Amino acid sequence: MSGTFHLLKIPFWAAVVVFAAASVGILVNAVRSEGLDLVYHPPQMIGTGDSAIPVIQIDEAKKLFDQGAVFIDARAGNQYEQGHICCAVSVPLQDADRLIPDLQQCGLEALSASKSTPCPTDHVIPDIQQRGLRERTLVTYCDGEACSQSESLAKRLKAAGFRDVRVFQGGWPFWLASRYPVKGSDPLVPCEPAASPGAMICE
Amino acid sequence: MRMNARNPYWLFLLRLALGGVFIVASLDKIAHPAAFALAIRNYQILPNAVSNLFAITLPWIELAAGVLLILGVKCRSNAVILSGLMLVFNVALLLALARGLNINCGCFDVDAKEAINGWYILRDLSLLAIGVLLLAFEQQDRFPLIAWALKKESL
Repeated sequence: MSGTFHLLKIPFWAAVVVFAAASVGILVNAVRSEGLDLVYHPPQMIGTGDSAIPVIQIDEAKKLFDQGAVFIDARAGNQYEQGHICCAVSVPLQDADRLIPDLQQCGLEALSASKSTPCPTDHVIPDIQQRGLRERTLVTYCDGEACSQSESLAKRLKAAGFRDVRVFQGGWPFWLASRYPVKGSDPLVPCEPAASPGAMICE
Repeated sequence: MRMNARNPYWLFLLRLALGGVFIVASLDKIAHPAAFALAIRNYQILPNAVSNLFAITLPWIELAAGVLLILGVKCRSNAVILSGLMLVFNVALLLALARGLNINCGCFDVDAKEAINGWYILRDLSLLAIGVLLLAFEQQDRFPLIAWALKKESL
């Protein structure tokens, strides 16, 4: 047996094992009840009917960001402090009961409602108060695809009467990896004004 | 028995270690393919569309190569597979760490809450080193488990 042939046998048998094992995996997946689709399709909607909430991916999220959508960070406050999507508002899910009414008040009755009511969202640009938060596009996000706070928060915002609420699936790590504008205590990409006209500009 | 790099008992221990790690790692992934697919997507390296296919097939490749390596069937081929996987996993970890992604490893427990950190690189490099050692020194297939079961000396 020649040396070259002997060496080629190693990758050959490796390929056989990989192919055979992968086939077993696909077969097992086909017969098991919790089997997955071979091609992954991201969910489009949470819920149905009037209360349905669109699920958006990174490209759509960036488009809405450029158009001036309000991003709402559903993660814990300390995670928000470390870094967040540029101009995002912090509404940790655990504080939603307290903050959603504040958001409604600050957004709709605007600042005239009560000067004594501290607006929790002082880093929201004034434009939001003027145009009415209820009518604007709100995008919730949290830490990765596996997190559920963004979805829970979106449902509560929707129930509280905000018309256009969307969930940015992927959220913070996807935004960060795409090097889109962010802000935080960690040295990250500097928060820059978004390019398109009418877009939000960080303080 | 000679104590050198080609010592068959020493190499068998290495095979047990590497094969064993991969067998253990494959089981949770086989049990929870959806969670593993999610862990793959969180790395943001592969297109999301293929995450399910990888989650369905990869654990079985780990399991098969791990079992065959321990049994002594096509040792070097299976060492190539496992070393290749370790290399890929290492690059994925490095990319994720470099981008500051706060994600779970998806290595042993696909639902783990702990985020990846530098120690994972060290762990994976050690496993990669075992794979390379086997590739370099395990020149022929040896069947110590079968030999032991048949009570024959094959080494």
